[in-house]
Amino acid sequence: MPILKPADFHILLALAGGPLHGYAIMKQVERDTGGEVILEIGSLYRLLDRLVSDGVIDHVDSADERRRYFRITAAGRKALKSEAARLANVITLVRARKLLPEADV
Amino acid sequence: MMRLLVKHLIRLFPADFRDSYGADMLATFEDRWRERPGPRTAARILIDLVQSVWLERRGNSKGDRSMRTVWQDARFALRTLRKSPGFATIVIVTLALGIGVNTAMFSVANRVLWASLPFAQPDRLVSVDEVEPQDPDAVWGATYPSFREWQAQTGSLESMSAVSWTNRVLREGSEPVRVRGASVSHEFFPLLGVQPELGRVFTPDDDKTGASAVIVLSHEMWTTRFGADPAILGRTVHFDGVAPTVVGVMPATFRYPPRTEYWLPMAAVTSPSLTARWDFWMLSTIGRLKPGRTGQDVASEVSGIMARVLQAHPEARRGHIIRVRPLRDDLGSDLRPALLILMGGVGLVLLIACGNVASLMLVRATARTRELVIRAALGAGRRRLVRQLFTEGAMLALCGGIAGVGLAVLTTRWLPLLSRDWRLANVPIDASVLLFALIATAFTCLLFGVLPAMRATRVETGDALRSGARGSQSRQRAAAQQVLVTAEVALCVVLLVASALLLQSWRRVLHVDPGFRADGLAILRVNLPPTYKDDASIQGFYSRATTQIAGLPGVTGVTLTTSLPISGGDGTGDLTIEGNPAAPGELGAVTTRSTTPDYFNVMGIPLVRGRTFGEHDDASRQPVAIINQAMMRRFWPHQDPVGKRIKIGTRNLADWMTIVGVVKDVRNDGLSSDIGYSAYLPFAQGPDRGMELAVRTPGNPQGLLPTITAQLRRMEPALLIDRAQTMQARIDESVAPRRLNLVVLGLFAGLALLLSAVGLYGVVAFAVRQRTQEFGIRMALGATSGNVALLVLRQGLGLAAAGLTLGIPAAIAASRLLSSLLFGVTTTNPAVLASVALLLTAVTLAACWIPAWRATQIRPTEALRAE
Repeated sequence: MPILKPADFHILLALAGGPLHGYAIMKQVERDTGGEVILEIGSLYRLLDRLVSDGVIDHVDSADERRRYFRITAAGRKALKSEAARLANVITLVRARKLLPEADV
Repeated sequence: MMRLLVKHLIRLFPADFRDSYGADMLATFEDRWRERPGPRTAARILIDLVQSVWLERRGNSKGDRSMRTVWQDARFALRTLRKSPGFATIVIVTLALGIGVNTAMFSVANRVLWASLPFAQPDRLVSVDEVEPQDPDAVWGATYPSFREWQAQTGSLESMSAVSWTNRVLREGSEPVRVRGASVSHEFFPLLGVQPELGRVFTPDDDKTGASAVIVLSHEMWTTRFGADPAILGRTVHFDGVAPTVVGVMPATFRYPPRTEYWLPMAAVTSPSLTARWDFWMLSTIGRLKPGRTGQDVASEVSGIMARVLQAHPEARRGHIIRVRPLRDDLGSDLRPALLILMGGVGLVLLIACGNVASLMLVRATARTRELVIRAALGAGRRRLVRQLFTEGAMLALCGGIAGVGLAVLTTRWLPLLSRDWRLANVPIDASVLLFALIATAFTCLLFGVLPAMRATRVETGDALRSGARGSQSRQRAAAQQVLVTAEVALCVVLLVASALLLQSWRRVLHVDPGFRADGLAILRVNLPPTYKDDASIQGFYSRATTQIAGLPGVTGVTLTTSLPISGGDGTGDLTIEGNPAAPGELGAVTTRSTTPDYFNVMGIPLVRGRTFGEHDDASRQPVAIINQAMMRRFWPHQDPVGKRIKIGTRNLADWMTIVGVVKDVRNDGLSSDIGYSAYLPFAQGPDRGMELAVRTPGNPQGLLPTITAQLRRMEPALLIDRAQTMQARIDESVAPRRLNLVVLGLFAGLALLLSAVGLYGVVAFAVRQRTQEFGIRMALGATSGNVALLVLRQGLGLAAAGLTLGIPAAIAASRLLSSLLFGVTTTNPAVLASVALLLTAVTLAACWIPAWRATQIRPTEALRAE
């Protein structure tokens, strides 16, 4: 599995909790990253379009006609899990080499 | 407006992308915009969209029709602009200057005046101070006991804290250094809503008289002075006089008051004899408003509390009023007047730049009428033509904008070269200002480039082809252009007058007599360690030091004082005069400094009456003082003050001092500030560990500093030595803000003059081209080339004169705003106005020279044949 780019990872992470529409994804990512990553609409939809064509997310039919909801696919979940595992491993390494205080993580 | 812009930008995405997500994107945008509107978000969204369109299109180059046309237009516009590089360059440079300096200036203002403080709900933070009623900038702050009263009784504040600067000598590294910190009451951190990075902040128990001293470090101090030691908590920090234990470290983002390195609990580190006094203004206060309450509420409450306090404690009476203002304003209050004026100036530059671009675009539109009409005749649709012109304008605006951003970034980087003010270092470019300047100039470009062209394409094709470019329309345009240039000149005059006034003030300030001989003085500030416990040991060291330094080659005099002239910061105390029944504080405050006997001799301060100090004026004798002329003029205008007795400081604590002499006034607080009452006391009657040293030399004082420093270090390795410089350097430092204003406003005026000259040149050159035939006829009928040149110059001078006529009254009106920055000049100074008029005339003549010369080169036969 290739390493996910941070923005992709955060979108998948946001969708892991259930289907969301564009703005909800934007806000969830902003919250998750403490305001570090704010995806404005241009970038957001380009990423969503690419993730859809990669098959890690897809569209959902919804009652709300104005909005399009996105949800994570099985392939997406797999990618997310393997990336999370990779990150967890990185943190263990960083801690083992005393680069981060325990309390900070 | 914003929604329309976003909608159009979304349309630029490739068709399939647009079909799948277009509507959804717009809906998402609307949500975002509703929740967080504002220029910042707008800039982010727009920049991101443009970039995304670009990336998406590059990856997907099939392209659809609308996009192809855009590219075609852009390429065509580039080609046409490349054909008239002079025009394009001038427009782009003008735009870049206008956008660049405005963005830089507003970014500074945003940083210094408007950026909100990085604390929780910063709008509810206020500062509360006692100030002088006539001059609210004369801030006294508060005494410790009245702060406690305010804190206990003010209902409209959620919480209140005391803050006060403290400069302590740190002895941790190889050499001692003076480190800036703050002593604060324990409410300070919770009030601002900040949490420590390590450990804890102060508890109420830490902030008590007699409590063992603790300290909270800034992230900066922790990393630079303690190597970010993870075991810092519990460590002792060695300052002179106090050795607190570290209990916490604040995160890097928290540095308040600005540039503070550490915080100490106020009550624990301040002598109880000071915290108990109702007439010792030692702190300022900050407060957090309760929701819905205003600063006005606090001011009236605190004024009421103060009225009761003054009943009970008459010694606190000074006739002060209470001033409450947003805490935010404390940061830039000293720079505010200058910044507001400079922003006005830079706004004028932007207007002039827009005027120039407008005038250039008008000329171009006129010159191109025929091209457009031909294209229309060949079948180009009007929409298509307008669109192409629009693209051209947009390309110019874009290039100008990019160059402007570059210029703004460079300008903010260079600012620290002009001023050492920390607030001007690392100024971030403000996106909203950039966007504003871009839109303003792009609007000018488009309005004046596209509108005339649109009208041109509406003319009857046949008419335009027949009559060339000299129809009634071109006359209208010439008139519009002249109005624009006259306005530019008028605005330019305003800026020129303002900077000429600043220049004049600057020269006046430099000619102020400082009251002492400033050349040939090397100065240093020194501080002995607390191991020098008693007056005798301190005096012993300094007497040895002066003898040794006096023996160095090239030294003709050495003296010591608690504070040298110019930079202010002296101790002050209330004046009491024997036999005068005035209440405490009623006679005003006197600044004091202790000096060695030869101070007046070494500094070159003339004695007016009586005597200077002698070696016998020591602790065993009656306390004596020397006063300045200002004090003599006010209190003993017709008598000899020598022999009179005064007290300086709290009446029941201070000793009577006998006046033994009067010396000439010295500018202790800087060249342009008023001379207050000041008194000199003998060093031997009140020695201090911290002193300033002045060394006179007939040679180069700068070259002497290393020798003096080395000598002092040899005598006492633990001696703190800082601010080693020449007296001249200290004077230069004191006038640096004034110089900065002058340089920046002068720069703006220079830009304005340059742009106006270009504008004048454009109008006159265009007129010459239009009048080629007329000049040809005149010359054929016998006019000399001199006659023709005069005609051209006269037009230019006419415009300049019109500009001056409008500009001078405007400048006089506007320069009233400048008065706070002026020194020794009136705003209607005739010499200033005359020199501005002269400069403008010279520049006008220079700008008209080339067109006038060109007019004289017209050959009558060719000119007549031309059409």
